[in-house]
Amino acid sequence: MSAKRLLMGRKQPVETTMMTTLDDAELDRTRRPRTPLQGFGAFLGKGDGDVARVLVLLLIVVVIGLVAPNFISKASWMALSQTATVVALLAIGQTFVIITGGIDLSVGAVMACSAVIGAVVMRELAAGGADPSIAILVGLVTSLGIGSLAGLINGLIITKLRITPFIVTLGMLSVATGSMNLISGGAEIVGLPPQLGSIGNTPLGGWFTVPVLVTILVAVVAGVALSQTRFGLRTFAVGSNQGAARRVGIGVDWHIVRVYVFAGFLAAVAGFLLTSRFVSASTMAGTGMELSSIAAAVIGGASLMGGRGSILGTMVGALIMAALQIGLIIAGVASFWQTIAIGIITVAAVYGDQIRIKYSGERS
Amino acid sequence: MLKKHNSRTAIGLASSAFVLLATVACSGATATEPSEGADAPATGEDFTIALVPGMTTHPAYQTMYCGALQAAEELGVTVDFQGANAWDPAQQLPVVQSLLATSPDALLLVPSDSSALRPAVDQFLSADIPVITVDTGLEDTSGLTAEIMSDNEQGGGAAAQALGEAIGGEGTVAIISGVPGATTDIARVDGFRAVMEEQFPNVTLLEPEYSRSVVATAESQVQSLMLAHDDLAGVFGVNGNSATGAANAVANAGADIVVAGYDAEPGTVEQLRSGNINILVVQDFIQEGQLAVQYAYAALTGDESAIETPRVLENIIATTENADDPEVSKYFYIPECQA
Repeated sequence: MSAKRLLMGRKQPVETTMMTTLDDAELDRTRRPRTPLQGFGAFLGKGDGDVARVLVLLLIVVVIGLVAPNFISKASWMALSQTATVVALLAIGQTFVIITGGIDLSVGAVMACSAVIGAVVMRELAAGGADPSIAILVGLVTSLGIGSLAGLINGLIITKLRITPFIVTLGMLSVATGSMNLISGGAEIVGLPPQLGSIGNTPLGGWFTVPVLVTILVAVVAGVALSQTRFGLRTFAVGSNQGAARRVGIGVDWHIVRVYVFAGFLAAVAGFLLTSRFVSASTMAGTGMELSSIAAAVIGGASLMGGRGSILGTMVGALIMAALQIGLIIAGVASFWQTIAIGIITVAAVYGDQIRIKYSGERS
Repeated sequence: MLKKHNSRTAIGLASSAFVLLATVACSGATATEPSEGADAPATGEDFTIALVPGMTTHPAYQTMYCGALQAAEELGVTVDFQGANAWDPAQQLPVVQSLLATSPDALLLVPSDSSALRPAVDQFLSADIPVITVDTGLEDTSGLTAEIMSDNEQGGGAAAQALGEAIGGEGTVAIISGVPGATTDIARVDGFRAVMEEQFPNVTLLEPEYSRSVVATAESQVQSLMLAHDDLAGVFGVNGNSATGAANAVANAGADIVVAGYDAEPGTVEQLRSGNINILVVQDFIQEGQLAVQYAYAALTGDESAIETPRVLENIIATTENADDPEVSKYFYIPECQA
């Protein structure tokens, strides 16, 4: 959104009338005296609502913690952080895609597919007597390659054949699932180098496992890329107004392709980390994950219309979902109520965000 | 660089080539076992019996295939193993329908849906081809020569008996089920609950959590349950993935919790041997395959008295202690049956 203004302000002086009215509106707001409530509203709205989202997360943690004190514990953190990694990694890629105005329904299937194929490679190398670290490395590279390739195919079909992302990635969901079952025979892949398990399960410094650290690293890099670099600026520009982005000379198609490759790559990272946690790869691992990743991004403030979203928001979204998943069981909520609660909170979070935007006078 | 138009065509061509390739690969995989006796007329004892599993490549059905081959060798009949690569009635149905054209002498079917496969079964019945359902069943069983199934309630009950004894009949026990509404999972949970309540009244049994057969979900559910219940003593994972996730959670926490699982796939057997899973319910797929062929043969030779239907097979309990005993490990599933 800010990028849109920036872009228009810089490159399209034609729209000066619109800019003037905007300035007037802003002037109007600043003239009015602030009530404490408005001040609080402005505080919540900081960082495009990220402050509000962090507060919602804290509220959920405190409420569940009051009901079930065990929720505030190291063991709970270990479970929560591990659970959040998969959704967080998929949702970071999803956020970039959603900001460009697209959607990626294939992230879950691509995650499972790249993990299973990478695992088959590791299993065959290990069975053939290869050094475990070589086998793991080759498996990793294979996984990342498959994930990126799936993203590349998604991006190319979307931009060159002009088919909507919904359909293309729905097709990829099917193709990736089918290819995975062809190669694995539909069964879980086992017989992997046991050293994998120490990557996935050893807590470093007692509190953070490797998958959690990798997720944090990816989030920081992606957050900086989205908010501080030309890549991020273009991502917003493409999603806000594709035509305008094209006119100012942005290689829109190429940019969209890169964003889908990034989403596929991150899906493969998530899949490899899962494999390292269980020292096996399951064909069921991606089931429903595309929807969880979309939910995390949307709770995090991303707009399915494109042009809006942040990595911090998405990470908070993923944490909210993991906190509910873990916390509601610890609080003794029956399993069917858990799914109902997660659904209600997803919709409520987005509604709350819209209310906030309306009252803060921002344009979404 | 290609012009836009050309690159579009190129991508279109490339994707159609990909689809074509995948289709060829699929059809190649379905026709892995061409029947040798399909063309020969069924004279005397030269019978060809078609076996359609839920999915061809799953270790459970490879094991069933091996059992069927053993019986077929004894009886001197041919087994034609055909099926889909995934558990999907939409993929299984065309396989079954196309088999009709090869006129097998009998059909052994693992229906992937209790009603979707019924019309295809009717086509066989009206062609006077006997049909036997194996492992799973049909809602409408009329006209079937026999039904062979494994007793999921007994399996759940046996898991409860072994788990209850292992924890000394005290503490809290959790159940991680697969997808809500799956009939086999429900039967396993019911059997588990019935035996646990009757034999171990001091055990607190929790309501099931549903992992949807996702390993990571099962793991986080068990991690949460360990926090919610200090006295958690046992977990029953009603299928392979649920048990694997539970085992991982318990092993990582170093907790003293007994894990019971279901199905001796390579993954769960590995966990059983390493002690992460302590108890495993194993279905006797070898016997399912053998019985199916024997019953088909009996029906074809008019020896109806040899058929017992419905035939419900009991499951075997494997533990970490007896996992290397050949009397137990002979029931573990075979990843790929060598025909």
